[in-house]
Amino acid sequence: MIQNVHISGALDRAIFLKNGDYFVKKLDHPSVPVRKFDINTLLQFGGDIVVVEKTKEQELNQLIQDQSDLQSGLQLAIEGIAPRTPINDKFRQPTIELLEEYLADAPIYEFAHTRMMSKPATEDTDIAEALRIAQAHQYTKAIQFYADLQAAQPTLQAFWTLWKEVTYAYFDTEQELIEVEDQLLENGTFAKINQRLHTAKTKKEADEIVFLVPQNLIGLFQKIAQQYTDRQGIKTKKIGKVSDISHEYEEEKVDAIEILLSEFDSKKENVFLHQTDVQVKKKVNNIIRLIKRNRFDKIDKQLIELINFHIKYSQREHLCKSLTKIATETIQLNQHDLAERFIHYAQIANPQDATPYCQQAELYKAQNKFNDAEKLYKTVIQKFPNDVVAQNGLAEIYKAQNNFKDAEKLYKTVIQKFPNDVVAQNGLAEIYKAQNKFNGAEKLYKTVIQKFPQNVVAQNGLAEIYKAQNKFNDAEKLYKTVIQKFPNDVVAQTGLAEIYKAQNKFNDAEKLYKTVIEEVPNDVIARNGYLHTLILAEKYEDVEAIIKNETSIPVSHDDWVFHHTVSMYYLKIGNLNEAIQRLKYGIKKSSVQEQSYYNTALAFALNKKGQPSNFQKALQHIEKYSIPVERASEFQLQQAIKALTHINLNQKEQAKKILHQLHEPATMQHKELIELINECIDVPPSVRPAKILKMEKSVLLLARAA
Amino acid sequence: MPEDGKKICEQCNESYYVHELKCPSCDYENRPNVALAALKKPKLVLEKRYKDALQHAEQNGNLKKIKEFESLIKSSAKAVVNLDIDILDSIINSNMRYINTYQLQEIRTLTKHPDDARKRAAVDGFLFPNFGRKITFAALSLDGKGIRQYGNSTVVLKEKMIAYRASLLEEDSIQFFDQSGKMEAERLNGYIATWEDKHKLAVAKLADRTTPDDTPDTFVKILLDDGDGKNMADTKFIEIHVFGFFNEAAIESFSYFDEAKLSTNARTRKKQLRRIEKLKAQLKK
Repeated sequence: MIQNVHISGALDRAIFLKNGDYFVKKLDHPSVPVRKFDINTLLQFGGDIVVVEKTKEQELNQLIQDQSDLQSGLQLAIEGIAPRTPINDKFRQPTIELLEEYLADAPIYEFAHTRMMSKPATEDTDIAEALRIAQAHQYTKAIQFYADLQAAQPTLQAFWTLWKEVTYAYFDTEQELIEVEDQLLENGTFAKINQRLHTAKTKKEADEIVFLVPQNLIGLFQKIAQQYTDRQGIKTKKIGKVSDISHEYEEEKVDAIEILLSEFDSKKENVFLHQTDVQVKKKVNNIIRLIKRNRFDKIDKQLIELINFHIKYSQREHLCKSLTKIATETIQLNQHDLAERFIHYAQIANPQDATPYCQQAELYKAQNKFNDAEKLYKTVIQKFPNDVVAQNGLAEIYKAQNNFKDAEKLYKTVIQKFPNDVVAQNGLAEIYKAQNKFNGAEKLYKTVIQKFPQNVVAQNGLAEIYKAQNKFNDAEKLYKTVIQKFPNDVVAQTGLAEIYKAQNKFNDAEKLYKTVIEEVPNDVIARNGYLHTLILAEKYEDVEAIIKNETSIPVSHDDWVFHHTVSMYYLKIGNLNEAIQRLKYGIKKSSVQEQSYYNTALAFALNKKGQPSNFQKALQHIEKYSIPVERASEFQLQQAIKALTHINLNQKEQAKKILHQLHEPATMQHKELIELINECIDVPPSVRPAKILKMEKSVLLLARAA
Repeated sequence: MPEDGKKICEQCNESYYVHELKCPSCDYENRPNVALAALKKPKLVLEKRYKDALQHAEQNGNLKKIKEFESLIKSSAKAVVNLDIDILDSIINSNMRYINTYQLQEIRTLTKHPDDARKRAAVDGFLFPNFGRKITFAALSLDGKGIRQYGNSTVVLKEKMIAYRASLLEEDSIQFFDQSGKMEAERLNGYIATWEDKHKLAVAKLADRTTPDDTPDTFVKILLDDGDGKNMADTKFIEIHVFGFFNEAAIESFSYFDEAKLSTNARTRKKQLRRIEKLKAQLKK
């Protein structure tokens, strides 16, 4: 082992200590002895020095090569924009050509990009010329690189002017300032801050820079964010509901709360006494009560009171916790805009707490803004690598985006790090289930139950797996056990009702659904399950009565199942026009995620309607939204309907091709359907209608299972 | 006349010891290495060695060749510094000043003599008391190439930038004292010279090594020979001590050798070659 290794990528060499003597090693050359003070020379000429405490001597050359590559990329990028002189101009194109080669390596691109996006380029440099050359020679990486750099210059200029002003009297010595600057430059914080400021459209977004900096610099960056938004003319975003109650939050009041929060002196040392805790709880509950009663006009006053109380008696962390608690309750009450406001305040109160950021990500998820949620979770994970909530949250986002591969990978990483994290284990089991990997899911749920016998999520999850495998008896037994242990568990109750329904025990299902609806009138799953049961039980009068009272127009994310079920009801009773009309409406009004279900169902309805033109339309609807193969049961259903459509169009070969694409049959219905498709393909068109009818029934059964 | 070891200040005409960095009377800056070489005694001994060498050459019928050699030294010998291309790039492209090569990493003498750190310190302490860190080491060269052991590129320094502050020593200082065994001031007499007397030192040292068959091409290697470019023990050259540092403006030309030693990594090699090309263009005067 060699020690005290100082590597200079700029000079392609390293100085290190071996058996008490110092040596220098140049890239691709053997080591030779030097003196200890030669390290000083390396520090003087070597630019960025990376210090490695210990490493193997045989690995040193690669370490030097890696650092050399990073520094070369940076150096070439700088030389690409060097001032206009005859020599620089002569070498500019070959420099950028070589830069293009270096930038192809993602870590080099990242390193050079981070460095150059940290500080403004000097006045004599010429980014435009570099960009022109990159474009003329189609150096794609360099184009992206220099375009970013050019676009960032105004923000970088503004930020650094501000930085110099604000830090002028902030640090005791210049050395201290230099150290902070170096640190923020080297760890990429300046680059991240400038990128955030560059894209910030609201004060709230600009304020988020404090999340990127160490605890001791939060005050400094709050000032910078404030002055930056003032100078750039970024308006304070009106936080609160945009709908009819938005006027209740005056912009001035919101600002007053923000100012109050930013003035929180975190340096005071208060002891958080039990008495304080009781008072805080009382104030928090007051606010939650106001929200529940829709008394939004009173919230600000209470909130200011709560903040003042914390300022007087506790610390930022405690205030943040109070605010996140209120936000959690607000989210549960579906008051998303209001929740966003509390989350924002919690972030200001303590930027070092990951909770409000995770809450914000969850809010994005609830609003189907998966990209925003993913981005935010990733930022949180970068800042808090051990925050398990953020990691599970990100895995959930992957799952919601059908990215089962990344979700599975992330859950497994979490489980490896935190073997007792139940959320990750249940989440992973869900991923297995979504991909029809029932054995894996069953095994995992059983492990969780063994470790945590009281974990109701795992028990309900396992019952779901039994149901998916048609093990209705096992599922029923397990659900009943859960209900016995947790009589108020709605998930188990609706799950059991589902089992009854799947076994055609419609009376039992109906009864249980009714019980749940009485307890929780807004339970969408119970209401939809109840409607579906009535349809299956052919209690059409009751169904019509429910439809008459329907309030699900326009279709929303929460009630799309209800609307879809109604469409399927019309399909079942043969009112094809009504069904098709409703399904078309669903396609138009629902979110992207739900459109696949409408398109598939519409394709089926059009098949039932007959005539080649309808079959063609059916095919178009299926192809409009291809369900990913990972969503196994839905994929199979869509493929079955596609096969049916091809049979109707007498396109035997295409139908046969689909059979090969279908997954291993997981259920009896599915097996039967494949046989039926085979039969339909082989029989002459004259005898086909009877077979097709049978196949349609089978598809409906599959739809029920899916 | 000043006492032994003293000089007359060019500014105030007061005398002071040559090793002082400044005149104690008027604070006028001194270049101790040059002042030492300009003392009467070293100059007299050098003059004697020079004349003896010429006389000896005359006796051997080689005077004409020696005069040819002397003339070439006068007109064409330059101070060259070898250093690593990366360091040079750093100096040129970030406006750094070159500092003592002994503070850099490429001193192969150290590889030969494990105890060389001590030796170097002792030699520097003797030759340059209190100002060792202000000395730039160079070599006298006829073809613009230097001692590869010190680095893979050579810069030739402009005469007018160094002549007034350079002194010369018969050979590599460590080898010089290795041979004599003792570090005595007397030992330097006749073996150090001012820049103006460089031809005398070269003749005194090398007259015996020239033959009537030598040509200006062979004179190059007689004056400076770095052997295989690896071992300092194989080197033969006249060492130059320049008081103070230099920057890009003091560089007359630049050459690079040993492309075979460039990186085996294709991309790194390309980068290194581009750097050499650019430096050549930058330093083309």
